[in-house]
Amino acid sequence: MKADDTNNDWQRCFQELAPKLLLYARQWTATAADAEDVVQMAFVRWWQKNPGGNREHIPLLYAAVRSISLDVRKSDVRRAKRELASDLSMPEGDKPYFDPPVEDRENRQLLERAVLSLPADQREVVTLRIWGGLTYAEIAKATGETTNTVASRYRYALTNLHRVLAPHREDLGAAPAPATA
Amino acid sequence: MNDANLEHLLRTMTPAAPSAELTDRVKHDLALAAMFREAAETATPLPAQHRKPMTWASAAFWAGAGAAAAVVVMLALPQGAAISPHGSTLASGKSGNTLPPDAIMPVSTTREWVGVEDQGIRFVTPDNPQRQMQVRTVERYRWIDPRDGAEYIIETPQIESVALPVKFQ
Repeated sequence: MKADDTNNDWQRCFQELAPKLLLYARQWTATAADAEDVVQMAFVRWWQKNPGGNREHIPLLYAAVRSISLDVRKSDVRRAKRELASDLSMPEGDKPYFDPPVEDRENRQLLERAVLSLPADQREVVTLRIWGGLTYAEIAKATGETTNTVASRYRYALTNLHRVLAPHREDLGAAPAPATA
Repeated sequence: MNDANLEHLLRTMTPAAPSAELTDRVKHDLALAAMFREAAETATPLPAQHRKPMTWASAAFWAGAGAAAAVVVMLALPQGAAISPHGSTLASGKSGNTLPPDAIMPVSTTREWVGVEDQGIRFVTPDNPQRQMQVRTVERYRWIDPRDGAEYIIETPQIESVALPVKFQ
């Protein structure tokens, strides 16, 4: 019974966090498959240290994803050199970063391209803030930066996104944001 | 469009879901970790004399003894453990939760190709040409001691000479 509960706990937690972690890992990895490897390693390590999936420790999970991704990227560079030397190469094409949109396909692609065009440090903060749902303080903990740095990167990112999307303002329709309490 | 509108637009995009295979892999890893933890908890602690600080002389002795023991363990490995070329790992560990707590567990055996050297064609007899190849590999054996989680890895470099018959058209 207890084992079943634990099993359900990690699965529930994983189902919730995995898409966000994958998106974050793909900031650095070459392919979606590499990102999945990173998420697997990070989540297993994290869950072993935090068997209950304490939400306070989620920034540590993102930090683990970041650290492992950077390691993988280093080995990717070495592997790419080896493959180039031996005429082996990875197949072209990869999974999209976001689920295929049912509607507004063009607008979604526009937004995705805009996010991908951001400098890496700004994109990282936007990813953690918008899709990871982390606060500035939690992002600072995950990335090892100060809260002020994180906040300013986020502001710069929004400014850049406004600039990139300005010509498409009419297409995007500027949907009203939901009222916050 | 203000910042709130932009954030709202971005949040409408759903990050791509992971593959079903990833969930299975995580499930497998967590089950394996739980199995090791359980085995370690039920194992008897190591005798105190194993933890005494050693002088350099006794350290050298135990290093030699350890190497000899490793060779013995290597020879005693089950021959059914599959070895594949190109470095792929095939688990040869025991399955299920019935681990003997007093034994180290073989986890994997891999053989990695390091390089192949073409040594040219030689004629063993005038009508029997053979291409001589020298294949360099590294065999890697990995064990885990469930009592304390210690991991043991032994690498044995090997050189094999292979003769391939050649036919001239």
